[in-house]
Amino acid sequence: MKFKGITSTVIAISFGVLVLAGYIFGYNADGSLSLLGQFQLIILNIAVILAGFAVLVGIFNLLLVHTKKISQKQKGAGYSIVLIVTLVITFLLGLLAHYVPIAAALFNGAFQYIQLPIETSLMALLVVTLTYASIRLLRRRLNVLSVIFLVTAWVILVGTAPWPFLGDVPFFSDIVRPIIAQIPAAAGARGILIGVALGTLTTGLRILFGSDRPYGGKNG
Amino acid sequence: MTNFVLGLVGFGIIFLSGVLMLGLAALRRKSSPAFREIPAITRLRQAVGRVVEDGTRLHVSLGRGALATPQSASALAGLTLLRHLAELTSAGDKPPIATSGEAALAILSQDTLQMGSQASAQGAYDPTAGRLTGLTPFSYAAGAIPTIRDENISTNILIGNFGVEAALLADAAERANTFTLGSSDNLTAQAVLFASAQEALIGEELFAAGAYVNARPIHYASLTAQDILRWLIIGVILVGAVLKLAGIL
Amino acid sequence: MADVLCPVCGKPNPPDQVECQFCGSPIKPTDGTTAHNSQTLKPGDQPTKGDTAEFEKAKSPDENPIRPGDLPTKKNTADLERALPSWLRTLREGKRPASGESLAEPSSDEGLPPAPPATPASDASSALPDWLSGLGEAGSEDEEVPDWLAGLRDDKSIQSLPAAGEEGNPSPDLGNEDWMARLGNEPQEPTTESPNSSEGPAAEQPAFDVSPEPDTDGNLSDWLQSLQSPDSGVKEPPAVPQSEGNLPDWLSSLSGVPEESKPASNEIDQPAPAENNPDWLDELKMNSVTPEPGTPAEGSESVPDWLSNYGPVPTTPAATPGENVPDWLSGLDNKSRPDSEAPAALFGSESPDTGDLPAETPDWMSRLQADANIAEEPEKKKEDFEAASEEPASPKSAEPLPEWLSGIGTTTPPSSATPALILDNTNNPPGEEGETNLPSVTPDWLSKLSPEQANEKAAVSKEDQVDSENLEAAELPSWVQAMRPVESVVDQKSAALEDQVTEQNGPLAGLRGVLPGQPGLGALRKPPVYFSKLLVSDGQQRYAEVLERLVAGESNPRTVAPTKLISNRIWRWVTTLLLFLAIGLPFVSSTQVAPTLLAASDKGVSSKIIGGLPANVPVLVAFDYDPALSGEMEAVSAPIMDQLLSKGTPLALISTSPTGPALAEHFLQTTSLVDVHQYQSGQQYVNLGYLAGGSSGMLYLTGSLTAAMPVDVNGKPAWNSGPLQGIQGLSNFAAVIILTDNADTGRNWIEQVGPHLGNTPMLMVISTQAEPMIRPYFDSGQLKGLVSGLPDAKIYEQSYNRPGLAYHYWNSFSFGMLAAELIIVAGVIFGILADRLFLRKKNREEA
Repeated sequence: MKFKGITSTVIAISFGVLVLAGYIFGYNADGSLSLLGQFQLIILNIAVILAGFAVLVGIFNLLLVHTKKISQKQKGAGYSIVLIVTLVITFLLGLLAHYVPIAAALFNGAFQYIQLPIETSLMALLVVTLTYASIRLLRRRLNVLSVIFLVTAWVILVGTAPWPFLGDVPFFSDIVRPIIAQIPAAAGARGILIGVALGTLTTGLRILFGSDRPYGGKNG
Repeated sequence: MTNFVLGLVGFGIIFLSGVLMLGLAALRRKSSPAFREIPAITRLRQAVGRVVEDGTRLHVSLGRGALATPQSASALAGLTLLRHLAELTSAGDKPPIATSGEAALAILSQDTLQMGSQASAQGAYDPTAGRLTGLTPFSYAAGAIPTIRDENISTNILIGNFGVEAALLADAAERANTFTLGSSDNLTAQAVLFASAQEALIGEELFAAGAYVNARPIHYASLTAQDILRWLIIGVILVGAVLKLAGIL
Repeated sequence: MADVLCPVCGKPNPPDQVECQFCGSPIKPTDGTTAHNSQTLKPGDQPTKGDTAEFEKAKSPDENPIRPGDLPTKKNTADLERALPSWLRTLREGKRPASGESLAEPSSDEGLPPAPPATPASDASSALPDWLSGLGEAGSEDEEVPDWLAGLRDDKSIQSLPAAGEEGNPSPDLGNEDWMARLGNEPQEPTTESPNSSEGPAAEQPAFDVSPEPDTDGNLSDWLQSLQSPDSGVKEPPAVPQSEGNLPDWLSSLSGVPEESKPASNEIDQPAPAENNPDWLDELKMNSVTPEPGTPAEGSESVPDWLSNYGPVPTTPAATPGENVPDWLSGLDNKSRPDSEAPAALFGSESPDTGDLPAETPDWMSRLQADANIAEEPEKKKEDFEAASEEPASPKSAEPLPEWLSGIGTTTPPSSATPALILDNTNNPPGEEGETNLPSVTPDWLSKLSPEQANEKAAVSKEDQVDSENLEAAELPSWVQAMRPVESVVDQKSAALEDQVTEQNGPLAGLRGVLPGQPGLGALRKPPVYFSKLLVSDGQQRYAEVLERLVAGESNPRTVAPTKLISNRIWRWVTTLLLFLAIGLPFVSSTQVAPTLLAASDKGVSSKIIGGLPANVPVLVAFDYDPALSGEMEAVSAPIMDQLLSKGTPLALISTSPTGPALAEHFLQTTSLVDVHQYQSGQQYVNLGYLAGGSSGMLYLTGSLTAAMPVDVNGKPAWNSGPLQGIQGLSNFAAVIILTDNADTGRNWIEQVGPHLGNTPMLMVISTQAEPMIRPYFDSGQLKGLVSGLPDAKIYEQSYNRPGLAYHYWNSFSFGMLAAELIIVAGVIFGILADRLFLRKKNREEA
């Protein structure tokens, strides 16, 4: 176990350093890929392949979870049955779509007529959810930030769409909304993104240094 | 040339960050550094304690950030927090559940839960505790909602790369009368979580959550390095703005 | 009529009384002071300054009040003499010494005040402290030292001299040692005294007085020695050396000794025979039998005035308790059988003859005698009384006690029970207890004893404790009895002590109350019985029941019903219904009720760019939006794609999202405005498929386009034939159009791919939510065109007069947004009001 931890740490650190170096020194002066760049590409391709393979592992895990739910007759086991059935069918259709046109049509139809409407419906559900959340915001957390948030959201809403029969709301549509959207909102968003980028940087460095080992080990 | 210069600048920033982190981590601190209190994390500690006391479950959702993308950093931060929370709650009746919208992230969450249960030497590891609930954002949210509703969850922690689908998760948690802490590196998700979740971490607080919960010298060092770099960037922005106003740039 | 208070003693007197019937001081002022002084005070009256005492009369009119820091000023204290009680004054005035007697005889006696010198008063006052200077003056002016006092002083001074020589420095305060020694029952032995009486101030103790002061050579005073002998009538003059060589008249008359026996100075060295009682003692003895209720007789010249003036009232200040029969006097009954009349004669009765004491005795004397008789209890005797009682036992040949002392009953020596007072006294070192235990009844001249004499007496008393059985118990006077602790304690103690076993063996042999040394032989008593049954009171029982109920309740699990807030459900359904109506109903009507916007966000740049693209150059289109947002994105993308497809531009479709290729296919096949162009895969467009790696994949794409995406979604080669033939890199495309709902994805495309496009414009069709983050890129020129949200799409359609999805969605979009705004406002206001009402109701209920 100890050897496993050390090995995985060494591999992770070494490949991380190589990929990082490839981003910086991966191109020659003429724009062609350097050796380091090529090595980086290879590693990235491997990572992509691994990520794809991880999808299969994840799907298998999903099957395992719902199978256990069905076997233990937990709440929602019926939905688990539907999920497993549909997953198997879709998987088979996808495998056959390349070879059987009907499978391809069905495969596309499953996406087009099942997945797409469901997801758009969930997105539509967000309208009610976010509206209700806006109503409850001040009851849940009454402070200055919440008031500013709510007022800003409402002002942006007013300035985004014209009112029926009235058209654009004067002052809100042409002055307030653009100013708020482009100056304080954009500036705040930039600051947040810079902070996120710095956090991303330090997190990556912690992994490169081996202090954070999400792949297993003592200090995961 | 421009790419090379940009590359050098990037390398310099990375090198400086590394030096700062290693140096600050190597410095022995007689007293723990004073970081500002984050009320959300304070409530998180309380909620995790209640999980153990109530015999309920903890649900950690890691988002859908792919490991090969820049959004993987938020996922890794979520994994760090998951590891510590798994150790804390392993003494409870039920182990925590980790859901994710990315396959590799689901595998890592399983490994993290296994490490956490082994570290406590008390809880038994359940391979199905780390789950892939969907490959698309809303399918991932749709798959995580039954977990919140049916698995006797009392505390939800949404930490990772989320989109607007985080509102569905927060709404489901509220209907289940559970505590929700939300944090994402996505701006839209931050706004949504601020309005719908009970507690929200904004910006880089997501990356500081691990340090607040399980403080190690390297975490303190990374937070301090972030602060130093932030001030440097602020200075560069101000100088650049002045130069731009002066017409130099 | 109300009584009048005496200004001196404060006793009430009849209003018509001129002189106080207790102290004899004048009641009514004689100096003509206002009658206010004699008026009774009424409540509320303001205090008036008046001469409340004779001291005030003595105050000089020009006397200033004393202020802090002022030095004391010498005063003529002779003026204060007027404030002295009459008996004291008469004491000074009455008996002037005989010729030759010196009034001013500095005595080494402690208790005796220094005799006022015959020198002028000023000289005397300057030499003495000011508080005594007046005494000197007064004495020199008005009074003279009584003969007896002077004689006593001389005797003492003479007798104390060898004592001082032998024992050191006798305390000058002890002035009674000589005559006290004479009172003693041990003419040749140091007087037996209890330890407590060995203290100096303990001389005031009656216990001390039991035994007379020993002379250093063991000589007792004559009269005391005479008390011891049965022939109390034989009196001898007290061997008090007098400088004047004269006994005081009253004393000599008391003793009945002829004049030739008076010069005691000639008998300085003579031991005072114990068988000679002073006349005054004899008188006292006689008077004690017949108490004298009346005023003291003043006729007899042998009786000093102060004795004769001593009235029957027992509570005069002069007649302090100290003037009562001291214990030593009462105890002398056991020692030397003094005459009972002696105390009476001593304290105010007429000077007794040899055996002829005055018939009447003062009241206090008689009372003392009675008390002495009452206080006859063996357990209450002090050790000095024991010692005193022992003394008469040891000298078997002691003279019979005087009659006045014979009344004092014998007491058996206490075995082991002694009064607590005496026990306490034994624990206290000598010299301390006496002052605290001494009542104030004893005159000062009796209270002083030299420490050496006190120690001797203590030693003697200790030796005699062994023979306590032979001692006769003394009678305690009443004031001693009053100081005694609770008798029950004493009884218990005595009983306990009597029940205790006397140790027979070991070093503690002979002692009582010793704990047994052998194990098992401890307290031989029955062990206490403890109840095995738990005694529970009613209150405890109630508490136990409550606790039992609580514990039982804890073991029963209570199912907590999940709280489902009805208000939440109602709000959700109301919101859903309103939004559904607001969005759904406009679909029914085809009339445009919402006015169209005037200008696009990019001011029509995208339209111009698209219009200027070459017709046969492929355009790279990236479908990087989620299926959930396909509704908006298809509506927003349709106009620009319609314009592009209307030119017959070949397309290369790519996506960094796994669902992108499918979305692309769906868009081209089903989207309004687009589907009419009927683009075919492989002919008008090539679907390159999913580009993995996110930004890394984009970067890879920029470096090697053909290598990154070699085949299409069908697996056919994409770049060698078909619409993408001749494309080598991204810069070969006519334009790059990014369709995304995510600002991060848009930034990745701009940041990763934009620098490698060269002159190829990049346009972006984004969702409204991504506009704030993407617009700066358009403003900075990194993006050439930007179409953001449904409003821009509406304008785009309007510009080309090709109504599409945006046109159909516009009414619903307008009404829906308005409904959302209104619902939010109404909901917030309603929520705040509801919370306030709820809080008010809750407070009312709690109140």
